[in-house]
Amino acid sequence: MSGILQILQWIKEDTPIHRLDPRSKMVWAFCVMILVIMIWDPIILTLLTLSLIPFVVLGKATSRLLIALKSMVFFTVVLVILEILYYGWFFGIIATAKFILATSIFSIFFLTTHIDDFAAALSSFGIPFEFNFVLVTSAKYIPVLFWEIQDITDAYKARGIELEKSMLQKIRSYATMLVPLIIVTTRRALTMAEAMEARAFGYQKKRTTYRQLKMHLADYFLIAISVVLSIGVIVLLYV
Amino acid sequence: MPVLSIENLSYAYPNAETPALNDVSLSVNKGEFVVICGPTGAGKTTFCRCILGLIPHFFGGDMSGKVIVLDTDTRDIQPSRLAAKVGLVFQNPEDQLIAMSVEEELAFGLENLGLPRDEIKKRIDESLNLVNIVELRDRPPSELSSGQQQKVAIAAVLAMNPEILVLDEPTSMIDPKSALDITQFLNKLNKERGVTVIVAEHRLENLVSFADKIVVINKGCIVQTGSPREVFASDNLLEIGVAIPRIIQLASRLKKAGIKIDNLPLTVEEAFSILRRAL
Amino acid sequence: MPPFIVVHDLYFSYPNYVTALQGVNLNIDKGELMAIMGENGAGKTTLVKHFNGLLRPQSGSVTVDGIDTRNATVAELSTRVGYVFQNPLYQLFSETVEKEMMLGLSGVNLPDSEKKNRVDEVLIELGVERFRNRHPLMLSEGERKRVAIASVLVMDPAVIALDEPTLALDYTEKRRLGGVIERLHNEGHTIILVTHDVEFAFDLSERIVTMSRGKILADLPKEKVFNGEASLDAAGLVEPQLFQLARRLKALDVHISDFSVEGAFAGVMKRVKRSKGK
Repeated sequence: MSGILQILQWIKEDTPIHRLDPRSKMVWAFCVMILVIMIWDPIILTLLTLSLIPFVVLGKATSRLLIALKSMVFFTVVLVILEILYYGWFFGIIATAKFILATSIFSIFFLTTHIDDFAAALSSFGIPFEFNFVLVTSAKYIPVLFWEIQDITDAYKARGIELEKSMLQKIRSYATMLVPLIIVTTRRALTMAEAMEARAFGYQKKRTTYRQLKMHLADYFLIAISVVLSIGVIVLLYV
Repeated sequence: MPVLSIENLSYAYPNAETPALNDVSLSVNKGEFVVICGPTGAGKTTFCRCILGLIPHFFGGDMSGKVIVLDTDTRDIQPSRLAAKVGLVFQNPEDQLIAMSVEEELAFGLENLGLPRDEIKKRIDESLNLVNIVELRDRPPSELSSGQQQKVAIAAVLAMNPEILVLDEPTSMIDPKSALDITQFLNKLNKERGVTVIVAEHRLENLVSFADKIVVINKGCIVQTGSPREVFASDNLLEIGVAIPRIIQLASRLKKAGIKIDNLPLTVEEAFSILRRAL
Repeated sequence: MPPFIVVHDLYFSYPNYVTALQGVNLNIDKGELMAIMGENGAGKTTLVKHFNGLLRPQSGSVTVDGIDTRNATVAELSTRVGYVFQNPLYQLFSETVEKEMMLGLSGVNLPDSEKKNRVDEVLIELGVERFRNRHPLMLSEGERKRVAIASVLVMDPAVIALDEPTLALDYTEKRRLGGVIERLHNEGHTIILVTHDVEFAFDLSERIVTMSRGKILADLPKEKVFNGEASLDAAGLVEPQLFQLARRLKALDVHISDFSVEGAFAGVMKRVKRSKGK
């Protein structure tokens, strides 16, 4: 569980990848994602995978990425079986590889981009503040929720209730543990709303965005390469 | 010059059986340091919400009487508009913070006000310095201790340059050292910068020596108002559930036993001098 | 009789964090009323979570009622050590107070009538009987805290550990809580208070343990802590005004050993009588 959460935790590093404007990274991720979806050729997929490596290494995201992928092992195994049943051996494995690739791209983006920068990028694309706000606040509260679930589980265990029993009892336990979580989260939401009002939320329609995004040479370069190469590959394969 | 004028305020939350506030009247002058005390459920939080206009606008309910803040009737103005001039710090340090970094947290209110970017940057720098948390600038608030979180909340509110700062039990959920820091900071803010401070609190010990006025609330009514020494001279406060600082309780008991106590002590220093003279 | 809880050379660290406990040694006898104090991050909660198995030692050992915690489940240890969390909302799962009590008894093998008796007893003991059919959300913070204690007490553990019990409580609620704790202690329960509320700790406990950065700084009877054999400041705690005053009054030949208002009053009056007698 925590492995997946690792994906959304921004690492406080200062690497060339972190310094890239989130918009150029979004273009890059989008292009590579399109290629992954469209292509079944194992050679090109391998090349694509290799092209991710410099991003991971330069972004110092290797260990976190591996942890995130490791946490999905169970899910991936199930997927492999299903894909193989559907597509046959060869394409089944390729389908799973495409899935892992797509997840990695997604992870690399979020491991090297601060959520506030991401929100600023969305805002520059014209997406309304309310949406961005929900996004950032949710991301902000993920670690808090994680610890709270821990505390609540601890409190439940400390009531002398043995957790490992029948499936039905397990489900009942989890349902019971949800109650305090929902209560605490709802109360928090109310306090947050009050706090936001008290800090002039809704004062006027036009808000300033403090966070500034600036595109540099490296960003234009990345966008150019991503777009050109993607179009090139697609043209080569389909024309 | 009253910056806050409450006249015959009564209020009941929607669907409530009893009113939360009953015919409350209070006047606060510019630059005063006011402490509001009373047992849980007395109406302190409700009181704070009324000053910000959250009551009646955010909470609805049944309100009568007037709350005039900086010459504006709170009924005539949205809370977000008042927020530029009156700040509110909440009891739970974590729940009032919304951003991923301290810097963003401080920027939030200023962004809402539509201030230009360089003004925002300036105010963030100033506020971090003022509250002495410069080193926390890039940290995620969820990683901070509750005391640090509360300081961030205060900095975020102060960045908006309010004339009045209202705090609803700011120290009841944090560690004593941070509580002491914050209390001393509030005093500095009030004496050096002339910010009117209104604090609702239980822990009165280190706070009362700074206060110009103590307001005691019980069951929605103001039971007593006056300077700290005036208010703490009354006997019934403990019964109501107000934690009179122990050195004051001691001095009162000694006075009643016939010992020559000139004045009720608000600090340890005063208590020592008074006892030295008496012995 | 051997100590009920034995902590021997305990080391523990959270993943990705600094070592939380560094070589802690502590013995707790049955029937004690003690406080473990220190600032945030000192390791107090981490230590106490080892007593009911929520955490297991990485090195060293923790023995509760003769059982090594590494060989027991949390459920088993919870029948010996009841843990009341800082935020009661985290540990209240049911729609009514009564159901909450029954939850704690679900793992216990007793006939239903016995269970009902226990629940009644505990509700009355903690003064929350009239809330029997209420939802915990409808109660005040102080009432909720007592319900949380009741929900743990219902299992009749020998030890009750309370984590920051005075958070967000007003004067009356604190006194009430203090009364409850004293009563429980008089009935034979061992009480461990994890707190940074110095006044509360000193009003109730006989023994004070201070911690800082994963180590125990001092483990003394409270009189000795007061007399300066241990520094509260070093543990990140704030000395209440009465403490500071009592220390300074020694220079005037006034001796106060009890930090309640009554105790201080008595101390000053003794001195007054002495000087009058001269």
